[in-house]
Amino acid sequence: MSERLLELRGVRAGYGHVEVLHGIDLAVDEGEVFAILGANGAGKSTLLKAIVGLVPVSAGEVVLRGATLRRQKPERLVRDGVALVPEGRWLFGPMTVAENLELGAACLPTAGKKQACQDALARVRRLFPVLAERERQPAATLSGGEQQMLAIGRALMSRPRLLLLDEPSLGLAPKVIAEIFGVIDELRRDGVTIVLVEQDAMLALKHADRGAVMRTGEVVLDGTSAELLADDSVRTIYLGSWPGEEGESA
Amino acid sequence: MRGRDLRLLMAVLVAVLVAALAVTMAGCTPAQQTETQGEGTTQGEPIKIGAIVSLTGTYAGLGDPEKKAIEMEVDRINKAGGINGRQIEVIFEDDGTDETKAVAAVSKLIEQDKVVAIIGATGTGPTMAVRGDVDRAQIPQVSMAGGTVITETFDDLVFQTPWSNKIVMPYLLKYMKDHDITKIGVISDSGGFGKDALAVLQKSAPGAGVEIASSQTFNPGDTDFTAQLTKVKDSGANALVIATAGKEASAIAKAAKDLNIGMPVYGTHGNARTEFIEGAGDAAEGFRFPAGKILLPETYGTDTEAYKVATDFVNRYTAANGKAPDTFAGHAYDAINLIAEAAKRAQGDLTPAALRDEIEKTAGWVGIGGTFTFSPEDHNGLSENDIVMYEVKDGKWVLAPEN
Amino acid sequence: MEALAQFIVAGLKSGAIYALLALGFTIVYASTGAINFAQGEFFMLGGVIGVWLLSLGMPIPLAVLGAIVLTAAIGVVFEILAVRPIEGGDPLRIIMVTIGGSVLLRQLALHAFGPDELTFPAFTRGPSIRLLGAAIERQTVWIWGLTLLAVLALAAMYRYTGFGKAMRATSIRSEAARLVGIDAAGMVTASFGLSAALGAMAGLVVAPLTQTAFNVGSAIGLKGFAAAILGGLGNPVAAVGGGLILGVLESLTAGYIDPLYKDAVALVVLLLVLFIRPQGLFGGAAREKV
Repeated sequence: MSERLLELRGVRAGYGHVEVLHGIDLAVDEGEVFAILGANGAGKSTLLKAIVGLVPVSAGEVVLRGATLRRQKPERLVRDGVALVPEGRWLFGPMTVAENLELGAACLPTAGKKQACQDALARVRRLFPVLAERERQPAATLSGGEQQMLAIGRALMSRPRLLLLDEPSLGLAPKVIAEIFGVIDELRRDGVTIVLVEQDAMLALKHADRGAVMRTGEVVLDGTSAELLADDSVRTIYLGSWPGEEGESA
Repeated sequence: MRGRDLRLLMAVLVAVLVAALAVTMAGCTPAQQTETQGEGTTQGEPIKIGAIVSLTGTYAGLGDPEKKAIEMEVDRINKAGGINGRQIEVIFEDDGTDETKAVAAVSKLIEQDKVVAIIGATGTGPTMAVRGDVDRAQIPQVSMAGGTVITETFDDLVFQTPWSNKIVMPYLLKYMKDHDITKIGVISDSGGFGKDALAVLQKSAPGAGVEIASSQTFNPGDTDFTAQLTKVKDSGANALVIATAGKEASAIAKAAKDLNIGMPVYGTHGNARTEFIEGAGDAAEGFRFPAGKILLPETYGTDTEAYKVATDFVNRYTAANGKAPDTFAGHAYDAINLIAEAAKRAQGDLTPAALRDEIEKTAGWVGIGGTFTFSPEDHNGLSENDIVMYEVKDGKWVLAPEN
Repeated sequence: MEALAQFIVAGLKSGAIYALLALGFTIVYASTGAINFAQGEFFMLGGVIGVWLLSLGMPIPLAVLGAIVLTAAIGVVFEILAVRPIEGGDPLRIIMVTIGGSVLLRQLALHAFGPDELTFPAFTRGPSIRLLGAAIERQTVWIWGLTLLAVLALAAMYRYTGFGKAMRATSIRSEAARLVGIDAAGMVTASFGLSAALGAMAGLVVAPLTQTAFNVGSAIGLKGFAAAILGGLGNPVAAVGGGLILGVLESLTAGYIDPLYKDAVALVVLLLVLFIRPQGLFGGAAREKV
């Protein structure tokens, strides 16, 4: 059995006085792809933001490699190998592709940074050859698919052990989606643990080892991909949802 | 979000601009209502005097020495037994060189502190702004500001200690005429002092045989004077007169040298400050300005009473503050002592009315600004005899050559 | 012709000072979305601290450098104590805090350095330089040179250094910057330090011409703000352009209309820009442009 990488114990979190997550328990093992499914407003994006500290955790524990995180901040977590690719991508639009990627490596320790940066850049260029062609271009001028690739590429520049992907397929053409999920598979082979929030449950479970289903801020079901695919409730509720539907807007 | 930011920004900006304009354009402020009459103080209690000085704002550099001089004199008088057995208490208010604040300060002094007299203000604008309240309360006011308007727009209650422009400007014009200067360019500030000086210059120049070839103004706080100096230079003037008590004088003198306007530069008693000489540096050399004899007490003659009074004041002030007094400290000395001397002479209950009458009766009293003789028509009390022309030489002021 | 050249020289002199202040406004606006109304006080602090360091016996270059560093440190401390605690970085509250801070800094300076005007000697002595019939004070050459240097250094920093890129990233989207490991709060602090340094430099370089005092900050701060708005907030190049245009406009108004109207004309032009082109003369989608 592989090692436990991330564990959530009774996590509650929200915005101001509005609690969105009402006690989440989850465990993600090293090296797996873990899918988080659920309808709009289930709290999936909030969960990812709570893990990195963009949304404050009001109760419960987030445990990373056995250590409980206290008042986590995204800028510190990325140093600990946790990178979030947020929904909406959050690129530095006026800056070039190359600058976006360079900033992705901002967290790397100074010692050996140059080499580490080059290695990471080589991997991003290999995974997304189109980005290499667009390096001098401002990020805002890229197509939607290219922007998603840049967002993932920027996160990969920090050489994460745990990659949190929020709706990577949203609004993209099937061909691009296929390319991005091909990269997810490749990253998994490289040993990167991935937590994947995805509307398209079918697609997600095809690439995930395990997953969980959320409804109104709670986990209502979890198990292996096969188990979830076999579950009738998942089939009826989620597999019918349209891939092109809008993501949650918390 | 961005739209909201921008709208917010606009709102803030407009508010700031309106405030800025209001400050620039501030001329007259309505006096506040007050019903309280100044009351006489009874025997034994301290004599309360209110002082409105500019400790912040444009005239902070003037108000500070004024306050120090008043404090020093009050201390001296009280230690010597006070006025007919009563101590003096001076309550200071800072007007921030702002007329509105001066009005608020005078209301507080009259209604809350129930003072029998007002010293102040530092500037001409605030001095005039409090007149409504002073009139209503019927208490005497002794101003330390130099504007002619203060005693020219006559008020029974209002006296002033500095040499008014009405004395200084004719003296300056006469001196220039004696030195073959017949055409002058004037650069004055748009505040009280500059306006006043300019008005007096314009009135007196024709009679003195001097033509004002160019008259330029600037706003307090301006940092560049190229336009004004260029115009003066092109006007064919033989001399430049800088009429401001503000710190801009040194920048103007310096720019005049840098732009090479090629004419002697004159100033006024408003420039009798070491800070002016330091600020103008080399450009101050040869700068001439009329001012009282206090700058060089020996000009009184070393055997005169004026010399004794002046040197005594200079020595005590220097010992207390580690710095020689400027003329403004002298105006404050005169203001507090004129009131104190009058209070000493007053018989019976020291009412504001009695105090006013006694101040007006001051005759031949030797102060720092000169020898004061008030009359029902003259509340300035000084004459041309009390001023001389100075020239800056090697970073110090010396007597200018007589002709 | 000679007069025109002289007015333009004067305008570009004032304009360069406005530009430095406008840059300060722009930098803080980019990082916080707020106007730092204490910017003029940094201008004041640069001058008065410089004079103080001179009085301690420092040579001019060292006093200039020291005053810039000290003022920048004051800017940093000001941000940490007053701005950082503001929850959620609400721009309106930041604005109010900086207004309060400006009053505080002015009063502190009054108590520390006294009410009198203070003199900073010319960086280099000597007669004015003649150019096209216009006289240019040596100090004006310093103003232009140092402004140019500051603008180029700033541009290079934003473009080529990791720190500069991190500042740009933070101003574009501070949460995204945090996700890649940038200390966004630190960048806001740095922006206050940087704008304080620029303000101090402006205050120092102009002090030999005009003297300085505890109360010189607010008026010039307003001009810098006007220049920043005129150019378009959030864009350094526009800030410099706005500053120079404002300076020349003022000088021409003073020269050909009346010196008394120069502030008013500047404000009128500013209001016109705001109503007709609220994003400023050169502004695009302002905040992203850094």
